[in-house]
Amino acid sequence: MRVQRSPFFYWFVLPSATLAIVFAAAMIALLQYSLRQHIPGSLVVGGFTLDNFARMAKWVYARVFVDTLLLSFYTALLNLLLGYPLAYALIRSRSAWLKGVIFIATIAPLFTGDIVRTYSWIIVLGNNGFVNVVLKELGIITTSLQMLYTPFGVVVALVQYSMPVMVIILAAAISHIDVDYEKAAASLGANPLKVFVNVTLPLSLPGILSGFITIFAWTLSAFATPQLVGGGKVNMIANMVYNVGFSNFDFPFAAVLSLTALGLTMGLLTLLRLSVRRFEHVGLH
Amino acid sequence: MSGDNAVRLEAVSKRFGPVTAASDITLDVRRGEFLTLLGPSGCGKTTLLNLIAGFVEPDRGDIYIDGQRVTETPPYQRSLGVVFQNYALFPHMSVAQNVAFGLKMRKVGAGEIRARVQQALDIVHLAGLGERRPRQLSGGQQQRVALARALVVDPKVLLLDEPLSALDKNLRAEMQVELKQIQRRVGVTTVFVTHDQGEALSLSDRIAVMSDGAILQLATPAGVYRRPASSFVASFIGNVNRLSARLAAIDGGTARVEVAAGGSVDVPLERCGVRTPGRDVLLYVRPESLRLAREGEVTAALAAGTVQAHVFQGTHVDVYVDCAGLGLVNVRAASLDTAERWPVGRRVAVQGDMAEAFVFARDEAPPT
Amino acid sequence: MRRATRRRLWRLSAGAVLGAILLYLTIPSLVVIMAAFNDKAILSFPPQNPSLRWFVKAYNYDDFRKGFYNGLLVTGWASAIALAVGTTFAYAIDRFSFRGKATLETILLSPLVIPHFTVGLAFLILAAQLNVTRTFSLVVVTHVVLVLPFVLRCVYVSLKNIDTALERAAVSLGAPPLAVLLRIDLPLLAPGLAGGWLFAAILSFNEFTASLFVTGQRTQTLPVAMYTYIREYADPSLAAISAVFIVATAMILVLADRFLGLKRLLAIEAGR
Repeated sequence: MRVQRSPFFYWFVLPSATLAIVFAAAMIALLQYSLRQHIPGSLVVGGFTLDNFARMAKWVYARVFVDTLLLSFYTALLNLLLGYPLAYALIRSRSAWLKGVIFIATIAPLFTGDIVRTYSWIIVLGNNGFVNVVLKELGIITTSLQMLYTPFGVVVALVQYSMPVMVIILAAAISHIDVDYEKAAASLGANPLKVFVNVTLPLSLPGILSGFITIFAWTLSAFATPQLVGGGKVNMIANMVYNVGFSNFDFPFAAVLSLTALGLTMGLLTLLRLSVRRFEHVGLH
Repeated sequence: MSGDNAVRLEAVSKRFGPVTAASDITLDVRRGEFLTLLGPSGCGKTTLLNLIAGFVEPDRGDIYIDGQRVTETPPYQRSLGVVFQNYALFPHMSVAQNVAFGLKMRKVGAGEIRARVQQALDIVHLAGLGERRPRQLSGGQQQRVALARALVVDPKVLLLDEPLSALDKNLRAEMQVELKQIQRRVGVTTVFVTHDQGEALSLSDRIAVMSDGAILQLATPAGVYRRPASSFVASFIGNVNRLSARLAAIDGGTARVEVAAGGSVDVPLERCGVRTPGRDVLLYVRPESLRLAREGEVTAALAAGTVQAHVFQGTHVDVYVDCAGLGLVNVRAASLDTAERWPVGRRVAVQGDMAEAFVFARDEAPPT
Repeated sequence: MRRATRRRLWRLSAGAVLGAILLYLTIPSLVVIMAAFNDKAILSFPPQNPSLRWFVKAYNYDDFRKGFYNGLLVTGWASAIALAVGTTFAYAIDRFSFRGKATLETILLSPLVIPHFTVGLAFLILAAQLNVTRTFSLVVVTHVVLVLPFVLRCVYVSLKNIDTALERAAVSLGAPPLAVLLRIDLPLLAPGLAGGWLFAAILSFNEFTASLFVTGQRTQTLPVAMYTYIREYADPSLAAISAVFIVATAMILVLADRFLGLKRLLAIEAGR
């Protein structure tokens, strides 16, 4: 039921329309730049060309995409494994205290910002960092383990970085599972493990899928973590874009890389939407 | 032309996409009367209320309030009072502020507002609760606040949209009585929407029975109960047995109807919606018009069958008799020892008083 | 008897797993706080000679101060604009149907899925094409675009939770549209608006990636200044700032959870 036509219509649509136009203009500018010729040593761009896209095929650049995909995959997988128990406990635990701890510990990092979160990992993983110092003092190692500037270190930091989002998605999925299903399964003789495997897990599958793909897509665009924890040794797409842009001042090619990353992200998210819809069709809702 | 009518709908139509919510409805609500719009969900009764309130604009037709055409008048200028299904009390205001809202919108002075709010809360027996928040009140109390809020502005018409449906059963009965008393005392014209025929029968001066966006019958409660205009009305109001039968003959002022099970009865001709002898018809008989008798003891039995079940209702017992060719027939027995007198499995005869029965054609689709 | 033992064992191992994961999540914050109070520049455990010297150094470092004020400026404008745009748009989505609504929605929600560096680069290029230098308005617009989806979501959810019968009730009592908006909708939306604004402010103040692209020397925000510092120096001044960030964020979240129901805003708990 709709209230009669509102006198505020334009007041309510105009601000957002303006902003949308500005943003669309920026994206169009980006698209336009990707088709312009780069003139080395100059910030001014030349005529229209498709060469920038052809350069993508070079292994130096393509490799970064492959590395990024791999790092994102590991990050999403580890996220799922570590995030599920947290999300499950966050929703199903009977202890308000535990819920509070999980909530603050997992969600708070989302709001502390990229730099703070990444910097912390430098102190933890560095050659004179927390882990190495503790291991040395315990006498387990004598020389420092190299963790900073390695893919391992980057993944460790990235997993923690994206955990809040994973937990939010999984928790939402689990909270929508009626406890009565679990009770019904238990009343039919299933032990807690079987209840989990046969009822809870399958019912949370849409959340698992959605969490996995979301984190995967999210990590594709990670910048601060690989920039600082990777320290130039581990490069992801965003770092390459930054370097191409601000070291070579080759903005047309940076635009191409950005658009490719955007395309990749969109592709993944479309995949997500399709697969989630499919699950909902099966009637898992 | 609409001199003594508080509300007049003139050939009003409203469609929502493919759904016809009101089709060419003309309706007069008399000043001071309690009129109920009764029908199943989706019949258009709420749309009709929304049309009167102005929340919805008609596609065609005109609406008059107090003789003035208000078809295009926005709802905030119609001077009506509306009580919503879930009361729609403003959660961020106290009870007193809720009641005062309409007066404030009318720019009434602070002193007068205080006095009138007080008076309105007195009427609904909530004096002293003005400072509470709505959510601190029980369902029944919230209901009264909603009523006070609607009444305090002296509305030309009071519109009630299923206001009792959110209450539990006992409270509902209590509020029915109170609603009726308050309406009487204030004398406000009231349009009440409900799907509950019990509510409609006990509260209304007149009932408009609706189905598929049309008013099928507009009559007093006794009128719609005893003289339903169609099979739909007959089935929707009260319990009724629909018995397969055939119109055998018309003889002066009576129609002879042969029931499928073999018995035959005379029904007053004016209660018979079919005038062609030989047609298949349905005989509508209320359970309270039927009685049980020993099989073979009576001659003019309607049907015979086996007692299947008793449903104890407190004031009476509903006995269900399985009759060949008719299915389960509901007979209402007043005496509370019915279960002993007519145990399950006993063969019985069913007799009836046909003065209150009615006949409609068979092919008229019965409502579900 | 055996059942009880088994259950205890099960709970113990579940607790251990949870504990380990939580440790992994919280250890960076704990270590940073420890390092911030450590007198020496090099980490040592357990920490010796607690001192506040890094806090003092960070406080007196010009770039941090400037970054902080720049950040406040940008965040103030960006969150206010995002709140205004987000609120009006949420209302428009919920209440009006008009041509181009879906397109508008797609464009304004897309920053959720577009990488921040792409947005940053796009605005940088737009500014270059318009011959605008890296001004504050460029940073503000970029931030508005990035935080808008969160505001929109917050406000939209609270708007959906307003029973439209309340508006109809107000209208039936004689309230014209503006009065309904100001006396019914606005007060009922207040928690959603506060939550949306808080989201926008926190995200904007902390935004780093896109800011790195669109800020210049003069307009750099605190995260950008911190990033530059990490690349140049290795002392724990940054740990000191980080510690302040972590404690402040945790406090804000606890307060927000208490007053606004953060879990509901994040849609973790099934809305009922």
